[in-house]
Amino acid sequence: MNESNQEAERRAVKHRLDEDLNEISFRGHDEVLKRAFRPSRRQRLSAWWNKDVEFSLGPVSAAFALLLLITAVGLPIYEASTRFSPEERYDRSIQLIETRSGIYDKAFYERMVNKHEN
Amino acid sequence: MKIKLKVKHLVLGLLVPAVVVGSAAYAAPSLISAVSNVQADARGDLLNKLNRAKGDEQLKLIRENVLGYAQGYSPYLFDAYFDSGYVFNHISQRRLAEDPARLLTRADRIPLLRAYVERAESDIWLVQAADQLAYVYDADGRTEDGDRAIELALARANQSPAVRGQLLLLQAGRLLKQGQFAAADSLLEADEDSSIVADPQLRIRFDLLRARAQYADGHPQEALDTAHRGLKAYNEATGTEGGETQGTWARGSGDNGIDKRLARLERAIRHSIQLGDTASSTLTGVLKRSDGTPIAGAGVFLLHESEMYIGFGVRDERPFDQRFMDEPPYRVLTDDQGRFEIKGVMPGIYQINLGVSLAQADGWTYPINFYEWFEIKGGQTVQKNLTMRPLIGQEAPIDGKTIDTDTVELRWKEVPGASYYRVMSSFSNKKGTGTTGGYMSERFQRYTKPQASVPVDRFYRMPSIYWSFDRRSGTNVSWDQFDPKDLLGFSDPDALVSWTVNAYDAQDRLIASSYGYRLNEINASSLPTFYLKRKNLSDADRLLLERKWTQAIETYRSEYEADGTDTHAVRMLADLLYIRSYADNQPRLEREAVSLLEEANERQPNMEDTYKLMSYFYERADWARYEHYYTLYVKLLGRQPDYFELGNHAMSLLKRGRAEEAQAEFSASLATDPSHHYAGPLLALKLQGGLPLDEARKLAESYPEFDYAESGYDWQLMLIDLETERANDPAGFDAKLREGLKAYAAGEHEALAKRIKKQNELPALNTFLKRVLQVQ
Repeated sequence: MNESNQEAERRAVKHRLDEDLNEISFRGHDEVLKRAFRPSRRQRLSAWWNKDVEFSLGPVSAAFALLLLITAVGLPIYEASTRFSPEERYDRSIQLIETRSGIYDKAFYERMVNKHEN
Repeated sequence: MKIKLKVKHLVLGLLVPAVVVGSAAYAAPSLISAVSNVQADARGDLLNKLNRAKGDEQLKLIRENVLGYAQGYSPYLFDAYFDSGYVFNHISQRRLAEDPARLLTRADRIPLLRAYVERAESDIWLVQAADQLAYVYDADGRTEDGDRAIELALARANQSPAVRGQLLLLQAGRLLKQGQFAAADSLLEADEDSSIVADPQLRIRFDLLRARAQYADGHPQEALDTAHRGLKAYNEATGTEGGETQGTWARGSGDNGIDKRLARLERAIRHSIQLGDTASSTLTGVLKRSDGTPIAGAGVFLLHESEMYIGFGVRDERPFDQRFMDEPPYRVLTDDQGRFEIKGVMPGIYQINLGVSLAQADGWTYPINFYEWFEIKGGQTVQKNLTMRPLIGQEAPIDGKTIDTDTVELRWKEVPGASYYRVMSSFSNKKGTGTTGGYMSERFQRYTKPQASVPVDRFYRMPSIYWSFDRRSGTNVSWDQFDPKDLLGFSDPDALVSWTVNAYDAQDRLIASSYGYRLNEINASSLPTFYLKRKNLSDADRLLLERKWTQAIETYRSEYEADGTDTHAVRMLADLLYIRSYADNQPRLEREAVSLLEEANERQPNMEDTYKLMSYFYERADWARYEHYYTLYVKLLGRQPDYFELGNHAMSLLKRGRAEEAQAEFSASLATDPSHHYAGPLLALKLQGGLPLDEARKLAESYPEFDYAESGYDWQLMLIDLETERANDPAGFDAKLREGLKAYAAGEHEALAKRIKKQNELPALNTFLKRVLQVQ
């Protein structure tokens, strides 16, 4: 057996040994952690915070496009059918007041004036 | 393809922005959404009530809740108007708060109004329902449904001539709007002999509309005949004088002057025939905000100048919606792209006014000058786009800030495209709503940057009264008519000063203003007001405020004697002596007031007092002293006099018989005066200098006058009449013309006025000279 063969043999044995040991120590490590070291709420939150999530781009884009479509088409229809149109949304019963600087909602204007007086 | 993200990137990148945007959208229009929630509930209740009812009960509820308030009103009523009148008449007397139908959307109204038109009895409410239904359809761009609504009502209304008549008017009005002029004419003609015309109020409306239809259809002479016959028939039936409009219009006239309107239409038709321009035109355009957003459902009112004047040179300044209760001449709604089109427009001089909703008005304005007219010639399609501009944001001073420094530093947001700005200030009671308060117009000051540095003394010097009483004409003056606060003006440290700013382009067109509707928290986040407290009330001021006139006068006198530089004391003393001289009929005091003011002005020459003295001596034809103060005034101005100052001075030269100099100054004034106030005097002087009548007419064409006239064509028309009159006896006419004009150019105005009163043989010449003499 030459020198290089000996070295190869040694590495192969070490590798197997490592694998075995690793399996043992991993399980043990986990158990030890669980028993001896309960993570704080903050740590758990931080773990979640840093957790990786994987998305498939196809379905995500499709969902986004659908959402956009619903907003663009559906919302105006919803608005038109159930609510006042923009020009009708102002309360037309508000009392207006004509002053030297403009025309205001009377109640709001009086609140402003009183605020400045105080 | 997959992407890998950490939860934190997902949250920070997507959710947080979404929340921020969402809450901003929720918070910003909080006032409006709070309001709409309340409204939405009330609306739901009202709709439930209306829909649950059956049969006649339902019709009754529709009448009360949907039609009721609108009885007697046109559906073309808007929450807010933009017109060229003075700013303080925008708000209508109409009380929306009492109208339950305000809660309903257009979509809500359609089935209810339809149900009413289909089932209700034939009476005036049916007309009202059909009118409103057609309007709502029009606003939704469903013109044909609108036409059918009227047809449906007509089919059900044949029992009652009055109802039928009103509906025919609505139908004819729609045909006219759609450009079907001949159809409108024959529709109205077909009913000429029916019982409808027995009612003079109805008949005159038929004639008014028919004259317009005939004119638009290319038959001006027939239109003129219709208008003429219509007026005659109305006057005979009602026993009124009608015809020409004289004097001012009684406010709140129940009849709303339909005969006056027909008379004005008749005159406008007659004038257009005289001027030889009778083909009708079309006006189109788009109404947008300056950011490009179209404004849908807005009312565009094209107003012929004959609709704006209610008498000789008297503008109708009532709130807009009170002016045109029925058959406003040319009105349309903008479509969802903001587009509008008005067909069958008579050639003439026009202004456009707008009616919009509160939401459309809030924070925006449609800037239009008082004299901003435009001409539509015959047979044209004129494109005129309209732009609403954001209100100018005022930065300082605001919210009742106390100013105790020597200058008031005003700042506002820059307006793109503005060539210069003007600032106006006024004082009022603490609420900023006083109707009396003085007005300091800085019309002579142009600021090229969005800021102004105004010395406090300029405010203090603003005259609270001009010295324009006239002993010769027996002016009746008493102390009761003066409010001490008005006399103190800006010198009262308790007076709230409000300011506004306007922006103009290089052609002097108003392009933006700070004045307008400010209805939500954002647009009304601050009030442009301040207090001037550079100085306190003096002892004399306090006495004045207590109306202790005599003591105040004596105390001002001793304050001035103690300190010769106390310009406030001497100015107040002069004003009070001037008033007393009239109130107690003591001419001596007027002389004392004048010399006190002259003395103070000599010590500290200033524009305000110089102007006051200049005007005073002008009125009294004291030309030597007038000239002295005019020269000083121009020096103090530090710039060339503008058209207003030039024109006044030209008139003073004319009164002194210095015609040649006057003519040059009138020309200079007219070059930039949008109202062409002095067109008449210039024409008279040019004619005196030998300009032939036909050339004078061309000159008149370039200076349409809008101040004294009822029409910008007045001077042209008078010159046409002069040419006609001259044709009969040129030599005799020329002699009389020369004689009259010679006296005018020599400044012998009173003598000329007396002479033409006695003359009758040349009526056109007399009218011309009379009108020339009216221009002051």
